[in-house]
Amino acid sequence: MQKDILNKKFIIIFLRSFFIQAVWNFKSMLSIGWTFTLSPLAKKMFGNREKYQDFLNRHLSFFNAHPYFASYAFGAIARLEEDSAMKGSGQHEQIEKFKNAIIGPLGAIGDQLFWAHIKPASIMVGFLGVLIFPELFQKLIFLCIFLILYNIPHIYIRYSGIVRGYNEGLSIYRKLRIESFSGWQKVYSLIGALAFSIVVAYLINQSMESDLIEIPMFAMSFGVAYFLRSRKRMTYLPVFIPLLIAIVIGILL
Amino acid sequence: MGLIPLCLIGALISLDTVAVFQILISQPIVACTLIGWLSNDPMTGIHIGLLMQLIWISTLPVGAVTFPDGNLGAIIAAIIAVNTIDIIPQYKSLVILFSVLFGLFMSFIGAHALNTVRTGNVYILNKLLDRIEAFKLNQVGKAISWSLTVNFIILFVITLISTLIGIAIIEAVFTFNLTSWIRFTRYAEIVILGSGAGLTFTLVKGYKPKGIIAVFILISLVILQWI
Repeated sequence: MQKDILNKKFIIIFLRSFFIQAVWNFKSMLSIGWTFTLSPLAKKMFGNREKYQDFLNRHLSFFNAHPYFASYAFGAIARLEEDSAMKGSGQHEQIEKFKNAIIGPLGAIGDQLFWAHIKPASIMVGFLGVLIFPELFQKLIFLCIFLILYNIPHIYIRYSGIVRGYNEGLSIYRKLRIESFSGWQKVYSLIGALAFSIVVAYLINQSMESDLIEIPMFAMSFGVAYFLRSRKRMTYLPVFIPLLIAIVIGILL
Repeated sequence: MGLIPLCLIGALISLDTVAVFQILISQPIVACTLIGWLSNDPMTGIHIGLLMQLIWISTLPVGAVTFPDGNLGAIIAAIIAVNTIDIIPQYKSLVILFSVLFGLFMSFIGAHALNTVRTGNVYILNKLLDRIEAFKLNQVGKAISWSLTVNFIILFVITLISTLIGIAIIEAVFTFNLTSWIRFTRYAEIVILGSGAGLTFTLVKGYKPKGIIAVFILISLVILQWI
């Protein structure tokens, strides 16, 4: 297929993929956003309305994945549907099996890489700049750095996932391992750890300069929140208990 | 900017949390700064954003889990703060604290609103399947538009009503003399930041990375003291 037609196809999938979670529901999860993303291709692929109707019914049944990493599945399924349409023989069962098999890896890798590493690390960098620098424009620059730091891998995965998924087809399944993204993971872990350390040191340092009692207050709240969250408590208790202790101490002192 | 346009923008930004894009403009430090900037008080927005950001970093929006909508809570907190702080500047720290606490409460409401939207989306899915069965095949885009519109309206209504309630509470409560409360709550901000840092630290798994971070903190502290 000509390169420009391919690129156009990828761009359509890429732009529509931003809406994958728009109709997230408890029955079919991402299926509507998933079908919305692939539907322009399917319209072109299937000449008659019956086949397009069958495509919609098949893909609206169920799909779930990490919203960014779903791009690998978009590319691979687009390729498989194309092959199936060209051959004329339905490979629908194989497509369905592949879709169900890829849900797990896409979710696991995406959650691990983005929600547990790239997102917190990028936020910490922005937070650090906003906390430390006094001028408004300096703070705004760090907010921009945060958004760039996060969205470079985000946009990259969304687009390259489609291209790689399309080129690899079924075999993309074997390449989807967390180890393939360990480089990103290590870099962002280091950035996040550094930013977090400087934030904590800065808050302690500020407390030393203003009121020494703030240091044990900070340590107490840090410890209580960490302890409660480690024991699977919701966010509210780890915030409210230290706050209550701080108010009681504020009244007593 | 007026309250209604601010709530409209707040609701629009909130869609970024899970519904569309997810480019993180809905994160408290970005969204609250934007709310502050639109209200000619970016520093108050930033202040609220900083206090609320760390609390939510460790909340992972994984799969079908119901999680507190910290971003919506932070946006509501920022709108309340920028609309009331000028009325009672002597209670600035209390207004900030009240806004943050109110925002935390609204994050709980936001979680249930998200669940309602997701339950409502099942209805949209069933309708869509019926239409496809009836050979109306150009309905997928419409389903997306409907869901986003309903989601936006719900977010807007929640933001507007909660903001009005928050402002009314501040206007009622802060007519009393609360000077002593400024002293009582003087450690609140450092404690909120400490809790946020503690929650964030739970993302670090294993003794070795935790040890490395502890060393980084010590080194940073020495450098900051030296500077």
